[in-house]
Amino acid sequence: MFGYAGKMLEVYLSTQKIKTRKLEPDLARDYIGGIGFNARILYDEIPAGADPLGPDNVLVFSVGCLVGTPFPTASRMEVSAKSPASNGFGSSNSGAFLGLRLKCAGYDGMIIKGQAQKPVYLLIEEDTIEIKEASFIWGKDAWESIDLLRARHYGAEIILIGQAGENLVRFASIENGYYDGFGRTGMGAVMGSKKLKAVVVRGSKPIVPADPQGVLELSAKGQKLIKSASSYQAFCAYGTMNATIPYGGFNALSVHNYSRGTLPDWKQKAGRQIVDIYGSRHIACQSCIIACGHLAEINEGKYAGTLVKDMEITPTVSYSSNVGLSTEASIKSSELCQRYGIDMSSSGSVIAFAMELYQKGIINKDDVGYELAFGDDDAAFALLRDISLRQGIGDILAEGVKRAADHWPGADDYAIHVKGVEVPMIDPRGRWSTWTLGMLTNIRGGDHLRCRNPVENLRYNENLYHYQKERFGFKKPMYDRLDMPENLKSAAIDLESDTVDIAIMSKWAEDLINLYNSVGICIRPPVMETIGPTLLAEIYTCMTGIPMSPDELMMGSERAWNLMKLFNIRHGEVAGDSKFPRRFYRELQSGNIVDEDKVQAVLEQYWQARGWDPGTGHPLPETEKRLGI
Amino acid sequence: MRIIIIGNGAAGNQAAQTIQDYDPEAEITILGAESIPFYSACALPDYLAGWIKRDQLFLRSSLERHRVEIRLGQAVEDIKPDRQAVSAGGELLFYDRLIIASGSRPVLPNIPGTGLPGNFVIKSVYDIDRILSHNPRRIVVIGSGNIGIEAAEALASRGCQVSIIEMMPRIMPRLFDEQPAMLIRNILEENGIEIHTGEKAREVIGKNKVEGLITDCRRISCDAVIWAAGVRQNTELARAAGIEIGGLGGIKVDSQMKTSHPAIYACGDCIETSDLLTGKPALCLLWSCAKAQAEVAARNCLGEEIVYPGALKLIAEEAYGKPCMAAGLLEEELDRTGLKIIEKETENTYHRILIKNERIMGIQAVGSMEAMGPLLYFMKKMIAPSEIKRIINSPALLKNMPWMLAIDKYWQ
Amino acid sequence: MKQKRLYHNTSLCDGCGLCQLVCALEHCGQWNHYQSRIKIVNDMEREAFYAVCCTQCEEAPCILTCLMNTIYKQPGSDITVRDLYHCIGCRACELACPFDAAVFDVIQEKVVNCDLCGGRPLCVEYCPNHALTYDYPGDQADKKRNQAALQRFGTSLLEVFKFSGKEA
Repeated sequence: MFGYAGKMLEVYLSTQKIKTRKLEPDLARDYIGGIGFNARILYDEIPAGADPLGPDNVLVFSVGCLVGTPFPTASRMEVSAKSPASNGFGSSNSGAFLGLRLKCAGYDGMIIKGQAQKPVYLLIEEDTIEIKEASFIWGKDAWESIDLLRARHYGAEIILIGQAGENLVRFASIENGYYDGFGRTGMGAVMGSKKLKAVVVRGSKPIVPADPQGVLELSAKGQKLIKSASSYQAFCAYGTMNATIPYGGFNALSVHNYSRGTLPDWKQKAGRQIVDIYGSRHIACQSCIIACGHLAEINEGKYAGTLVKDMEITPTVSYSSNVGLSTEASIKSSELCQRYGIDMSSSGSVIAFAMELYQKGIINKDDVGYELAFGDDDAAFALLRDISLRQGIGDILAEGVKRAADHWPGADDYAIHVKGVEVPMIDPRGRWSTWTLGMLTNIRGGDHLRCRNPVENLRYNENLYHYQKERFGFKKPMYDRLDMPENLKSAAIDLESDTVDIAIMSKWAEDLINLYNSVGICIRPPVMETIGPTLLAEIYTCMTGIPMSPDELMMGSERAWNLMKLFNIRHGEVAGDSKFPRRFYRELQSGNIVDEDKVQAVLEQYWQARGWDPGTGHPLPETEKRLGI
Repeated sequence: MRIIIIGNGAAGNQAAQTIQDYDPEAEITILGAESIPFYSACALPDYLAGWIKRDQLFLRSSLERHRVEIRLGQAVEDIKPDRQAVSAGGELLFYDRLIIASGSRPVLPNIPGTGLPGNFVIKSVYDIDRILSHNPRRIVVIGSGNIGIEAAEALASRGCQVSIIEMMPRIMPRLFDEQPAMLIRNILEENGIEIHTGEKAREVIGKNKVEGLITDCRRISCDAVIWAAGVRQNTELARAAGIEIGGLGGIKVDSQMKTSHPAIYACGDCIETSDLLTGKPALCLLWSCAKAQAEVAARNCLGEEIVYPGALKLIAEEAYGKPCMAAGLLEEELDRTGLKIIEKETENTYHRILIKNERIMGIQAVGSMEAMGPLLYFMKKMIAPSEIKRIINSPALLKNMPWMLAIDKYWQ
Repeated sequence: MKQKRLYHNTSLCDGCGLCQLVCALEHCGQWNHYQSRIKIVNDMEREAFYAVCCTQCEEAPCILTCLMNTIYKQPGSDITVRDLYHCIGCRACELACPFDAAVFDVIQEKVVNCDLCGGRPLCVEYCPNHALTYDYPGDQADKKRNQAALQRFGTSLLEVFKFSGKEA
């Protein structure tokens, strides 16, 4: 089978059995790879009502099908399982080098089932696949464990959990090497519940494309396209930090648990110039031509000696604005989160939540053991430790804001989450866009990474036509080069009024990002702006030898999205779950609240665009039939 | 200048090649006893296993036919140093310079039964052809040097049942110390090769052909015996011509590869040279040494004054896909006082570095050969530890290598 | 005769590994870590990425070490090339290379080295940051480096990789 490794690894931890499963050509063609495979496997193999932290949950890692080509940013890999945070489809994506190594070990993915009795780690080394005893690293933080594992297995790529995952913190992450991770939806807790500490991969099998020359040429074409993107230069220099200032200006930041929209010293604290101050060099993932990650180094002061790959908007907003820490403390928080193996977005939200409860007098020093205040880095890090190790109040907070709020009367008002997943970064009261609607429609709960207008314009911030439109604001060439079917493009973007229809664009953006997650490329704006299904279909055909049209490719992505929705419905999601935290509807922030009815109207438009029932948000039978689910 | 080279092996060809490169005017004659073209003896086990085809053994050569005369199947009858001539095939050939590269041959011990059909050595292509046409099923390999081990693996891969008999208490006794030898032994045994160490072959039994072997401890029935336990230098010609022979049995040469007789040089397996690390006389029967020596001999023939620094043992092997390497000296060859041994073992790799008087004297590795090159050069160039540390820490040339973890700790 | 050489600038390199991918795809039509003739090494301690690739030594130790005489200098140029037909994959040349630049290709079971793609190195074309360049050698730093290599490893190079980032 060209392009794919051709098989998936199936590990039964309860019985310590290991099998390989042939990759069915139908699955490969219909679901493309990455998250598509995960959607199918999870839908088929997790029974309704399964406990996310029990033996019935299935943890699936799948590599995107373009990984192994020199196509820019083709490095990504997706992990999915039933999420302990949302009780729905949990999924997270990461780049770096593991995806390629796993493919070189001969597998398109790993399916991990059951629960081990004792801590174990999985070793995939050429043809040997072993479940090995892991007590020597159990209880150790992620970085220490990596060092210990690397000493045993020279030159291997490692994914693992830290203490947070071991302690089943509901927003624990799976760390991918030192600096990268599968952050959201608590995949680390699932891995921890399986008592699987790490997966160590080393392999040297070839990845064979059907048409190597074609792959080379199309990769060069992709590179040229991405380099021509308007945001390319800025992204190369500053990565995602480019967006911190605009969002501060829009009053759309999550400051102090969303009690405010911006900070007066935000520009100094988190503007992109901090990259120049702390960043020492760029670090790329496999095949990436953008290299948005920076190695950040603190040379003096309290946190001297800290060295992390950081300078991303997510940890910065999470800790600098939500918890209110100083710049250096926020860089340090990245290290701590990576060591504990905990999601940076959610942990920041949970700490901010606790701090606000403390401020409001709902919890006090007796509950916590120390004082909590926004901006206090010692307290924040102590709480982070307590959560990761489930000590004291940390044991309650480790359940996430939704479940923790049930412990204290009145705390519910301060729990900022959608479907149990803490909302990161952006406040819809400050800026309404495709991106913010995406937090409601997101399959994995309150999250910002699965729906983003490919031509989002950060110069404008207008709430047009009752939440229905956002400003397009670009010139015609941008419209022309956007790779989108013509009829859909004219429906989504109205050049005359210079607006983008949020409902239609949300569907397209979700499908496009889902496609990226299936083929294994990155969702950084320079890529989203320029790479569309046309080029991806061409390179998919060159890579796998399977004829594929752009429409089929998008349909494959939509199919996976619908399947994930069906998974969520089977596991108890109802239409009423798609709503923002109460605070967004009731509490004024910079003079705005979110209008519940009008958002509901846009949401219904979106369901309609998807071919879902406008009343319940369930996929209609004809949609299922059209997609062949 | 007329130059005659005796021997059509690695040394002989390398000498001819060097002469051709440095002096386009020289007339070169190569006299080879075997009547087949230049081939690599090192690849014989690969041919035996069937991993490479017969024609892949024969090597490319950029000797120019009109200037280099290669006479195959012409054994030299004797050397007449006083007349500056050799006689071959009844003809007298005159030379200005003579290079002896007559090589070595395997020896069979003086025990009963070694004359029976089914006794083999591994030296030439014909030996392999003979083994293959004999088509043995149950084989005993005597000796566990690198040829012995490679032959055993090759035959095992052909589906034969193979046993190795080694006189010394561990396998590859001249190449590896005890622990790495044990690791390699485990790899071989896991793959079904039977190994008996500390035993000596006493007798080969059989009526008209080999039917078994008797050692100190056991009797093994087999249909072939491969002798890979010792070689002797081909020095008869030189000895007859009055050229001095060294204490270890090879032709004695100085550091310029000159023999006791002016105008006669020698290189390759047949000579006795000095060890790079200890400076003591040593035999070094390795392809890479032969080529280096040939180059030195050839250039000195032409009037340059090049000095051969000494032979360095260097072995790279693969035992069932696991790379193994050894270079320099062994623990037992070194005086124990002041000897430091650095060992680093992980699940799949093993590195051992011997250090004496702050100099690297030996390197052994099993499982990974990755990035051993620089370390080898530190040993060859006798670089002091402080300098090594500087190189390790300088970003320009090196990177983190498995052995570095070990060595870094040692010198920090 | 002056030949163009491959240069790598650590200060521009992000470690994306594209050069490795295109190298393997171009030479083998498939991808595998061990088939790429160029290796990018991530040195976290020194916060830098280094390229390891054949330096086309003047007196290449691999040539002398080869058991099968498969390695030679391309006539008319000084590029080290291999005749893979005879290579038995003994890896002696890998061991002999002081720069760790010979690559054991596990699929073919043969050792390979950079051949500069016949004068049009693909890694240079695909390098997004122009960290890899293909140019004529010449300046003083090259000479210094050459001497350093000669002294350390006893083999003089036509050109060693030039690192304009952090000098030795």
